[in-house]
Amino acid sequence: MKKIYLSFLLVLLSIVGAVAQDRVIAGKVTTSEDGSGLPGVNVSIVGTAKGVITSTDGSFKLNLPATAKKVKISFVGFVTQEIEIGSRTSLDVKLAPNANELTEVVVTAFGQQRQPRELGGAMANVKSKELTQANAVNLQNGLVGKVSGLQISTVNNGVFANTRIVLRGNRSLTGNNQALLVLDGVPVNLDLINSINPNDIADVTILKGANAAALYGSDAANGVMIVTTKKGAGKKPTVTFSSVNQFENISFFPALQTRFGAGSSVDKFGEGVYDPIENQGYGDEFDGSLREIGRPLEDGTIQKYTYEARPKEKTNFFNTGLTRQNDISFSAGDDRGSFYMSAQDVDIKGTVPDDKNHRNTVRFNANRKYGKFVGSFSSAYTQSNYDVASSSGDIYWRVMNSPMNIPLTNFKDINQPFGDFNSYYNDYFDNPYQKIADNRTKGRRDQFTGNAELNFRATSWLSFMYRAGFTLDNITTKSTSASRTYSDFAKHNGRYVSRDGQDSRASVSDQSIFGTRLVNDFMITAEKTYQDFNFRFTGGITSRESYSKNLFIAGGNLVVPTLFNVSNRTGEPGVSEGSGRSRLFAVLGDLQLGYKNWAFLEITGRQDTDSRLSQGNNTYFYPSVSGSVVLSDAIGALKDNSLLSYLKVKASWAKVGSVSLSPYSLESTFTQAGVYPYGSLPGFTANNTVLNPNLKPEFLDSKEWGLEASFWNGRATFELSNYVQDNSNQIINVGISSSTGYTGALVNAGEFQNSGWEFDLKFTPLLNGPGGLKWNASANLSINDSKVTKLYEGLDELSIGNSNYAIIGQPFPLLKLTDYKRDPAGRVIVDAVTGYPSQDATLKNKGRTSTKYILGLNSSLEYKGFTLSAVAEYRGGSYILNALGSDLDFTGISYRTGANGRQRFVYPNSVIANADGTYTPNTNITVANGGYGFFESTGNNRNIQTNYLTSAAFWKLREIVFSYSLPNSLLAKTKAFKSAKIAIMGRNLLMLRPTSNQWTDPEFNVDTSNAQGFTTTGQTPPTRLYGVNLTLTF
Amino acid sequence: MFALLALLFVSSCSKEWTDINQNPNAATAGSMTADLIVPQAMSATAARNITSYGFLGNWLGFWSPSGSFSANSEESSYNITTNFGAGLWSNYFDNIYDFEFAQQKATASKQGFYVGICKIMKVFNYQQLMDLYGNVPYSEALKGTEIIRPKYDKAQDVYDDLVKQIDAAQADIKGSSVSDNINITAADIMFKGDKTKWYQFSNTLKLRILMHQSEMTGRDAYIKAEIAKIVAQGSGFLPSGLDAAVNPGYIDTKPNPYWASYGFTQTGGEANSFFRANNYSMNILKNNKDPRLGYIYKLSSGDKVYKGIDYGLPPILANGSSLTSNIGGADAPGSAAKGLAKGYSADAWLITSTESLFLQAEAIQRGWLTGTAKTAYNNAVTESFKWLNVVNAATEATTYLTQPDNANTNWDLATNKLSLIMNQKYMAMNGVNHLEAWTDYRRTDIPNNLPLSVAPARTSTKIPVRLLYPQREYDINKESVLAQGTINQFDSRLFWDIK
Repeated sequence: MKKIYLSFLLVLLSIVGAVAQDRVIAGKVTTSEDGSGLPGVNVSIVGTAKGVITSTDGSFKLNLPATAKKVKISFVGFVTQEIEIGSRTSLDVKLAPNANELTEVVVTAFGQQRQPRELGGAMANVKSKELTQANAVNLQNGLVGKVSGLQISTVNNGVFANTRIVLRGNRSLTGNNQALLVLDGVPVNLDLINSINPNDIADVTILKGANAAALYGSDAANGVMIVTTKKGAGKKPTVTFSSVNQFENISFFPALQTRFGAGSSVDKFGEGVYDPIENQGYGDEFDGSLREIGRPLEDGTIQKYTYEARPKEKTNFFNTGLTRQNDISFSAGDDRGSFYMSAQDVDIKGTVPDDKNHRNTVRFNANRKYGKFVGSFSSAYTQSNYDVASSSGDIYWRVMNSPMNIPLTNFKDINQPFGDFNSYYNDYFDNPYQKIADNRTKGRRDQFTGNAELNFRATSWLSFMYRAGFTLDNITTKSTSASRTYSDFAKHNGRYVSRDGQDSRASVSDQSIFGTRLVNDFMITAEKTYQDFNFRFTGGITSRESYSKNLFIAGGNLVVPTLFNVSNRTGEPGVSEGSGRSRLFAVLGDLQLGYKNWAFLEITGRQDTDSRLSQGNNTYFYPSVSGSVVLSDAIGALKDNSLLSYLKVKASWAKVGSVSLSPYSLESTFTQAGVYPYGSLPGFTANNTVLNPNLKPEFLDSKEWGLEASFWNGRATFELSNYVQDNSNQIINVGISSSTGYTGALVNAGEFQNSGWEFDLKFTPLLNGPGGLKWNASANLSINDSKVTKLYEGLDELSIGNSNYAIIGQPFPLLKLTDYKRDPAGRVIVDAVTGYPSQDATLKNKGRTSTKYILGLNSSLEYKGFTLSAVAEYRGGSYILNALGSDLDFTGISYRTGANGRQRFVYPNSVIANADGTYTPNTNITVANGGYGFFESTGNNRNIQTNYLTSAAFWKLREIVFSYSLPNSLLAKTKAFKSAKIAIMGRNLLMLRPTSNQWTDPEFNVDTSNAQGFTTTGQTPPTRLYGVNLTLTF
Repeated sequence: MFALLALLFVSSCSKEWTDINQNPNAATAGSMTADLIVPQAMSATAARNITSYGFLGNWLGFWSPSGSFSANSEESSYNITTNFGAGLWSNYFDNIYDFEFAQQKATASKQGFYVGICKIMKVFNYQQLMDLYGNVPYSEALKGTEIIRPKYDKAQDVYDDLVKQIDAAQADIKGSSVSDNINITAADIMFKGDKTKWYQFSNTLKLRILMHQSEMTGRDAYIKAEIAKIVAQGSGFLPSGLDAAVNPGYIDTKPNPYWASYGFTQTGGEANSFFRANNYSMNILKNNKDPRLGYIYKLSSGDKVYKGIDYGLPPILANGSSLTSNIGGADAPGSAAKGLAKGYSADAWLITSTESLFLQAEAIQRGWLTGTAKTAYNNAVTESFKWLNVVNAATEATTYLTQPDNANTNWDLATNKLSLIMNQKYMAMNGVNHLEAWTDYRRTDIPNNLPLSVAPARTSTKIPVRLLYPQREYDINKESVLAQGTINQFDSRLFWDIK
C-alpha cells in the first residue's frame, strides 16, 4: 500500500512542473494505403520529448512551444516523417507502410497501446493476416511455428482440438504452466481459445515473460496471449464473407507387419497356429490360401477369405474428415464510435466414423464516445453441439485387435450377418463399427464472453476506467450405451461370450458442468510529460470470482432399451455433485518512466488476497522492474546509420506469487467409498492426500535480458532474449509411503529453475523484385532447459503421472521407465536356458519430455496478387514413450513382432550371468520362442517400456498456402467487391520423424498436463489437412 | 487521498470477501464419527480378503487362467517384480488407517466397543499383510505427515503385539456398553454389536496367529500360554455355522464382491471368465469322490464336463473359457445359496467357521488344545460340506470321511494325522482363503506335491514364498525398505516359514 501511495506522490509532483504553451497545431494522420485514420501515431516535437498520440480516428492536437521547428510523425510499421512546421496550424499527414518494422504499436496489458521500444520484456505481435493465412479453424493452429518461445502442441486429433500452449517451457512442477489468455483486456479460461473465431481477431500480442503479472495476476507468470478482437473502422460499412472447406486424412499409421495372420498360440515347433476367431495376430505365415474366419452361422454358412495381409483395411476404417466453415462479418464506424458484428458456422466431421461437431459463434463489439466518456463492450456467444463415439480410443483399440488378414471394412454394416455382434468373427473384441453405434456421447457447450468498459478522461493527464468482464461456460453431455442380447445360437455355439460380449442392459449418464468467472477492474491512469521525462502511472484494484459446479446422474438397467433417460431405470442411480468457488482481490500499481523516448523504466507492484489459502497466509505482494534503452537513438554515433537502423537493449526482473491450488485444499477430507451408502448405512473413508492448512503461496523469480536490432531500414530484424526463472516453495503433492495411511501430502516444497534463449530473425530478401516480386522470410529458434533443484525433505523425485517425474538435478519432466536387467556394461542379461531377458523393477531415467529446441521457419512470396507462404517447424531434444507400441505388440500386428519372421533369435547385445558375478556375451542362446513367446509376453517384451521409447524429434510442414487476390482494377469494375481472395492450403502435409519412431506423432500426448511424451491408443492416428478458402469483402 | 482511502476501504473488505474456503463437497475430520467409518472399513477388508488372491489360487493349484486370455508371464514364471501385487500393500494400509482414525475418534468419545472392533480389525489386516511381506511398518506407521518414512518393524515383534492387541480389544469391548456406542447395532456389519461373537472371532484370529508359528522352535510355551488365555476368556472360537462375515446390505445392484467377481452379472452372464479350475485340485476332488467338486467348480459351459487346466500353459483354444470348468460353484443367476459364490446378498467372510474348526483340529492334534483330534477333524471337514451347502451335507461328509480305502480322507487309515488335517484344510480353503492356504503351505510344506507352473519362462523350482516390497517403497521410503536387506521371492522366507 505504501508503495502505491508513493507512486501517487510521484505523479502529483510531476504535474507541478507543467509549462504553459504557446500555440496549437492540429491535424490527422492517415495511411497511404486506403486513407483511413491511424490511431496511436506518435506526433512529437523534434528536439524535445513532447508529443501526443493520435486518437482513434487518427486526429491529433499538439501544443507547440515557440521554439518548435519540426514535428516527427512516427508509427510502427510505417516510414517516419519529419515535417517543418513553419507557420501552419493544421497538418494532415499520409504515412506509408514500412516493411518488417520491429516497432509497431502493440496492445499490452490492460489495453494500453505501447511502442515495443518501451517494453523491457520479450514480446511478439501477430497480426490477423498472419494468423488466418491458412485459415486455421482455431487460433492456436494459426500461431504455431510463428513465435519463438511459444510451443503449441496439438496432443490429439478428432473433432475437438486439445492443445497445450506454453511459453518458455515449465515454471511449475505440478501446477499450471499454460499461457494466460486475455481476451479484450480480461483474463479468461484458456479453454475459451477454441471458441474464438480466428477471423474476429484483430491482433494477438504475446508477452513471453512474467512481467505482466502485476496487471493480470499470478497466471501471467506463464506468459500472456493478449487477443484483441476487431473493433470496426472506416466510415464505409464493410462486409466480409469467408468460406473454408477443409479435408482431413489419416497421414501416418503405426508400422505394421504383413506376414502373419490371426492366432494366439504356437505348435510344438514354435510356429504360430491359425485361429479363425482370434483378435491377436500370432498365427502362421500368409500363404494366400482360402481360409475360414469366425464361426458358422446357424444355417452353416461360414465366411472365407484369402489368407493375406490387408493393411489398407486399417487406414480405410477411418473416414476423410471434413470441416466446413462459413463466416460473415460487418463493420462500420464514424468519428464517435464503431461497431463490429460477425457470425460463424463451423461444421466438423471427424475421421472416426460418425463423429460430428457443429459450432456457431456470434460476436458483437462496439464503442462510442460521449464527451469525456468512452463506453465500449465486446461480447461473443458460442454454441457447440457434438455427437461422438464415447471413446475414440476404444474404437482404435478394436481396429488394432483385428489381425492383418481381416477385411475389417466388410463389417461396416452391423445389421448384416458377420457384421452383427452375434456372428462377428472376433470372439474377444467387438466390431469397432458396433462400438461406434453403441456407445455415444452427445454434448452441448455454451460459452459466453463479454465485457463492458467505461473510460472517463477527467483531464488531459488523468483518466479513470471501470471494466467488468464475464465469462460463462456451460457443458451438458449425455452418454449412452446400447443394450445387447445375444441370440440363443450365439450363446451356445461355443462363442466366448464375455468381455465385450455379454448380454447387457442399456445405460445412460448425464453430466452438467457449469462455470463462470467475473472480473472487476477499477483503474486510474495518469500520464504527464515533464521536459525530457514522460510519466505514466496506472493503479487500481481488481477482483475475480471463479465458480464452477458439476452434476452427474447415471442410470443402468434401462427398462425401455431405447429410451435414454435416467428415470427409465431400475436400481439406484449414480449421482454426484461438486462445486468450487474462489475469490481473488488485488491492489496494483504500474509506473512507467520514459526519457527522451529512448530510455524507459517500468516498475510494478501487486498485492493479492486469495481465498484459497488460510487467513494469514493469503495476502502476498510481488513487484517487477523492467527497462529498455534504444541505443540507436541514445548514442549519437549510431543515429542515422543506414546499416543499423534500430538497436535496443532491455532487461527485466519480476517476482510473482501464485497459488496453484484448487479451492478447499487445506483440510483433509472424507468421502463415502465405492457404492456406499447401502440403504440407510453410510460408509466413509479417509481420502488419500494429507491436506495442509499452512500452505503458502509459491514464488517465481524471473529475470531476462535481450536485444532488438533492425537493419537496412527494417529489411532485416533480429531479436534475442535470454531468461532464467527460479520457482521456489512450490505447492506439490508429494508421494509418501502408503504405510503413513496416506499416499500423498500437499506441501510447500520444490525448487526448479527454467532457463532459455530465444532468437527471432525476419528479413525481406526481395522487397520489390522483378515484376513486383516480394519475398519475406523469418526464422525463430527457442532453446529451453530446466533443472529441478530441491524437493521435499530428502525425497529426490516426484511422480507427476504418465511416467513423468521431477528428479533432483535433472531437467523437468523426465521419463522414468521400466527396462531390462542389464550388466554393468549395459548389455541385456538373458536367461541361460530360455534366452529370454527379464524386467528390472527399478525404473531408469530415460530423458526429458519437454522440448529443448524449437526452430520455426516462415516464408512468403508475393507476386501480382499471388501469395505462396509456408511454415515449417522442428522440435527436438526430448523423448516420448509410445505406450501404444506395447498394445500393438499385444495384438501382434505391429511391425516389430514380424521383423524377425517370428523365428528364434539371440537377443541382441545380450549376456549370460555367471555364478561368480561376471557376464559372458551371449552368442548362441536363442529365445525359446521368437514370435508369440517373446513379443506377446509382458515380462519379456511388453512391460519393458524402453522398447517403446524414441526421440520425440520431428520436422513438420505446418502450413502451406497458395492464394490469389483479384486485382483492384478488376474489382473496381464489379462495383461490389472491395477485395476477393481464393486460397488453397494444407496443414501438416509432411512430418519427418526418426525411423525408430514407428508409432505416432511425437507431438501427441494423453492429456494437456505437464507430463508430456506419453501416447496410447487413446490418440487416433495423426492426420493431414488440406482445403480451399474463399474470402470476399464488399 | 480519496483514492487511497478508497483502496484502504476495499482492502479491508477483501478479508471478508475472500473468506469462503469452507469445503461444500466433502466432509472433514471434525464431522466424522466411528460409526460413519467402521462399516466401509469392514466391508473393504472383507472384499479384499475374498477377491484379491486369485494369483495365489493359481500358484497353489486351485485355479488357473483360461486359455482365452493371454498369459501373465510375470505371474506364471514366478519372476515377479516389485510391481507385482503392489496395490495390495497400499490397499491394506489405506484400510488399516480408516480403522486407526475411527479408533481415535471412538477413544475420544469413549466408545469402547468401537475401539475394540477397530483394534481387532487392525490385527486381522496386519496379520495378513505380514503373511505377504514379513517385516512391515507398524510402530511408526499411520501417522500421516508426522512420519513420512516409517521404519519397518520385525514381524515377530509385531505378531506378538497383535496378540496383545486382541487382549486389549476384548477388554475394551467388555468394559463398554452397547448404548454408549452409538449406532453400533447397525454400523457393526459383522455381528450387530454382539460382544460374544466378537470374542469368538478375535479368539479364532488369535489362534490363527499362534498356529502360524507352529513350526518355530522355542515357541511352544508361548503358544500354550496364549491358548490357555483364550480358554480362560471363555467364549471359545467361531462355532459351526458362524462365520466372521460382513453384510452392509448387499443387493442385486450392489452385490457381494465374491458374487460380483465369480458369480453372475446382473444380466445373468457369468461374471468370471478368467479363472478356471486347476487340474491339481480338480483331480484330488475327483480321486476322493468328493461331492464338493460341483460346489467348488462348475461344468464347462460348452460340452458340460469338469475340465481343468495346468497352470502356466500358453493360451490355447482347447482351454478356452467355454471349454473348461469355471470356479465358484454357483450354477444359476440370482441368489443361489450354493457353493462358493452363494448369491448377491450373501455375507462376505473374513474367517469362516470351517477354518475355525480346522485351526482347532490342528491345535488339538498338536496337543495345544484339549479335545479329540479325530472328532475335531471330522467336524471340520463336515463343516466345509455344510458351508458349501452340499445337499445332505452331514451324510455326504460321513460317507466321504469313512471311505474304507481312502487314507486321504479317512482319519483311521491316515498314517500322518497332522498331514491329513492340513491336506483337508487345503481342500477346504479352495476358493475360500488362498492366503491362509499359502501360509499353511509355507509353514508346513503341505500339500507336498503341489505342481509347479509349466510356463516356459519359469526358471525357479520353487513357488514364491513371499511378495516383494512395492517399488514405491524403494522410491520414497528407501532407507526403511533397504534396511530389510536384499529380498527375493524364493529365499527371503518369512519368520515363521522354517520348513
